Amino acid sequence: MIEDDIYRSSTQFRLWSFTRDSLQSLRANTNALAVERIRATQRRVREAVRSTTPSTVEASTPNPSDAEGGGKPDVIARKDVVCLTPEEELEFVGYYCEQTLELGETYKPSLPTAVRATAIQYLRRFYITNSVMTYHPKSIMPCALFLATKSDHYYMPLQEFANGVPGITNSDEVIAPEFNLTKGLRFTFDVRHPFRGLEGGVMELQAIAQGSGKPGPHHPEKTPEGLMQALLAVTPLDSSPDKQRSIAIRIAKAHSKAREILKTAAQMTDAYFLYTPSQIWFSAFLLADRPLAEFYLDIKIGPPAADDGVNADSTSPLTLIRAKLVSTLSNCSQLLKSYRPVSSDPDKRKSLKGIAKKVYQCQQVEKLDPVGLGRAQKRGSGTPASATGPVGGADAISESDMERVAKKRRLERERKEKETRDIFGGELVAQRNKGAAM
Amino acid sequence: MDNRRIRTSRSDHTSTCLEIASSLVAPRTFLFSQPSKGSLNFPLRRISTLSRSTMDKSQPSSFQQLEKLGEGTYATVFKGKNRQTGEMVALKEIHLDSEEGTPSTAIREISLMKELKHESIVSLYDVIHTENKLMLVFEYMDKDLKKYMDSRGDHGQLDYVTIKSFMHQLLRGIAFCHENRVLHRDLKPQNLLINKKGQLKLADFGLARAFGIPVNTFSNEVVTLWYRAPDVLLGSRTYNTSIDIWSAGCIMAEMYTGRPLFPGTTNEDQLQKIFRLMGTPSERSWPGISQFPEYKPNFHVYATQDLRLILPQIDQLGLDLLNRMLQLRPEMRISAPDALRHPWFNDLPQLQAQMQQPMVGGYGGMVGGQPNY
Repeated sequence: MIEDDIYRSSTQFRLWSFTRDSLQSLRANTNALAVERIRATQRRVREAVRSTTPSTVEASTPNPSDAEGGGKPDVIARKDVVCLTPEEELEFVGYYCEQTLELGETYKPSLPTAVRATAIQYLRRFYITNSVMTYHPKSIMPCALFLATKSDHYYMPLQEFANGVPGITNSDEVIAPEFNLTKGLRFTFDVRHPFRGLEGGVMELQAIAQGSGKPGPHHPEKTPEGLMQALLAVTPLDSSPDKQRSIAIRIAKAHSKAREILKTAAQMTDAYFLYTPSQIWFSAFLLADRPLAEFYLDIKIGPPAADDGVNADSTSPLTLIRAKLVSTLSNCSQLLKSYRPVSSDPDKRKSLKGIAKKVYQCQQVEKLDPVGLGRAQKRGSGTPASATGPVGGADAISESDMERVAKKRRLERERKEKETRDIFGGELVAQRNKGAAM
Repeated sequence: MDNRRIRTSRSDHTSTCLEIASSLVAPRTFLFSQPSKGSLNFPLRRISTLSRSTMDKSQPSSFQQLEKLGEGTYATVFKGKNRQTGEMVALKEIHLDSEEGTPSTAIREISLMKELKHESIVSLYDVIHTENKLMLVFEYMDKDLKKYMDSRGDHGQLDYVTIKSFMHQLLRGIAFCHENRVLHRDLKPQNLLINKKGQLKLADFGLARAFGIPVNTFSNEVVTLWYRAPDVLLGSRTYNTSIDIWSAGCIMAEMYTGRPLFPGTTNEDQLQKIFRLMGTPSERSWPGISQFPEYKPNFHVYATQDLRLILPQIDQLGLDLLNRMLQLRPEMRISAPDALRHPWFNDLPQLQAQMQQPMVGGYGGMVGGQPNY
């Protein structure tokens, strides 16, 4: 089996590789469903308020929902909340991906890059089919990072892990969304990263620099000495202040620059969904040191077709492969280059704040959902959702939820119930009493 | 493919815990929770064609849980029957640790089994999550190699053709793992499963790990003592694919004799049993050996024995392959792909063809009657 065949058999290729269009339509679909559910919840709450209230306070206020200055549920029910666009969702997820990188840095010693990268990819994968309006990344992110420590052989006890997560008071909060997360990941936990490929490529260049390089499969005629001379003759980087420095230093610099790109841009963009790990590391290497990367292509595949078009080789299979490869690589490079970290972009920070507010509003609605988070689509729109009445909705949530793992689920549920009661039950009663008193 | 897609009916949330105990109801493991619109275009998967209505119609597909097959470190394995297809499966029930969430061993095993699809590796059909259990649905295998040998009357010894066939399949499974950068690390007869067709498959990847760069942080407490490679016993933390080859060598010898080759009781005893047969290594035969953490200058010095003394039945080529697998020095051990090319296997197709002739009902009655779990 060659490397490509092995990759093609991976779940990353089979389940988590997309075209730009398919990725976009999946996200649009996820967003549309979440918006639809929020609207449906609002409709249900509206109806519930109308149908329940008269039975308790009928005499004094026959139609209290018409009364102005209603309480919070009324407000939420009456006015459609502003939902996120698919682009805003993606931006919000991107922010939490950056947070993952930072959170991993805070541990002593800091979590390995691969563990953090795995967690980031878990987040990105999860949010292809789940909306941030439904599951707030604030709670999914630590869970993803903890899951990555399990799958990537860097397991640490939960308590120890939780101690490092800001804002977490109970370690159970970390694993509360674990089931939803693993389901969203379709129980595929293996993420193929581009880091190892980069290490291999760099080791190969170092060997060539030391005169112990091996010829590529298509150019068996090349000698170690010839390869070394060709490497030394690679065009220096214009911007490089140390043109005279040794080739070893140049390789090391390209290495560390490419590694940084893999650690950041490759994680924060859709690179993993659109390209293979080899394409990603090589695109990063192209950005780090183009002449060096092109030398690598020369010795592996052969020179590009000559510009004048008279080169007889321009139609040879290897030349065609190279042209095709270069086009893919340059697309991937463009994608990597497009990444701007939130921290260095005040406009982005501002727009994130706006998104966060919308997410908050959406989640307030989700909490009012009488059938509970994620239950709406299970029961289907045909089922009368308010069978037990809206005030009993909190109890409905606590009814046997098959998909929940007992303890963690219970915790999450209790928290939700509490919040639901606070916002809905408690205040509604107060509101009714107020209404009755009038 | 279809029997892998297990769905649950929408009314399942009313199931009681009692019902869960007898029938495991699967959440829509492979399906997404937003089934409408029909535009989930995941590549190479057919789920995109599933509309909401087909999901609503889906039966509460479930497994009937039958007898217990075994108990592992973090799981219990039951025999199960797919109620819809009648197909037998093995249900590996993982006890969820309420303190730590899904155990990391389970996460690793699921992670690897989702990637490693090979006929010499037991297939993971599905992952099922219920109220407080995680259930892995594996293809059903009749028994493990240990029980298989025990059930073979002849003091556990296997016949020549079976040994060769099993070794070939074992090495194919190992080669596939190694090609995918996975070390099994815990190969032993109990982890090799046999079915009635005479197929052998690697199972129990709870201790397996993917290897990459660097390789120097591996824990040295992994392989069951009897099948543990000498470099691991000496405290090496930079072991590699060769540890699985050592285990395979031990298993090959065991299939000939019916007894474990090196049944050590402690780390030290294990090393001594190995040295007594394979000879005590020295700096001369193994440069750098004195640097290992567990190396003792006062190891009892044994001369190398001829393996034929304890394996009188083995032929010359088989002995040659075994010796290449049981090299003390890890770098001298044969690789899985090279072992598969060893001339000992040259006559395997021919031998199997001869075996096929008189055999109509399965694998020549080698698996007698019902499995005795």
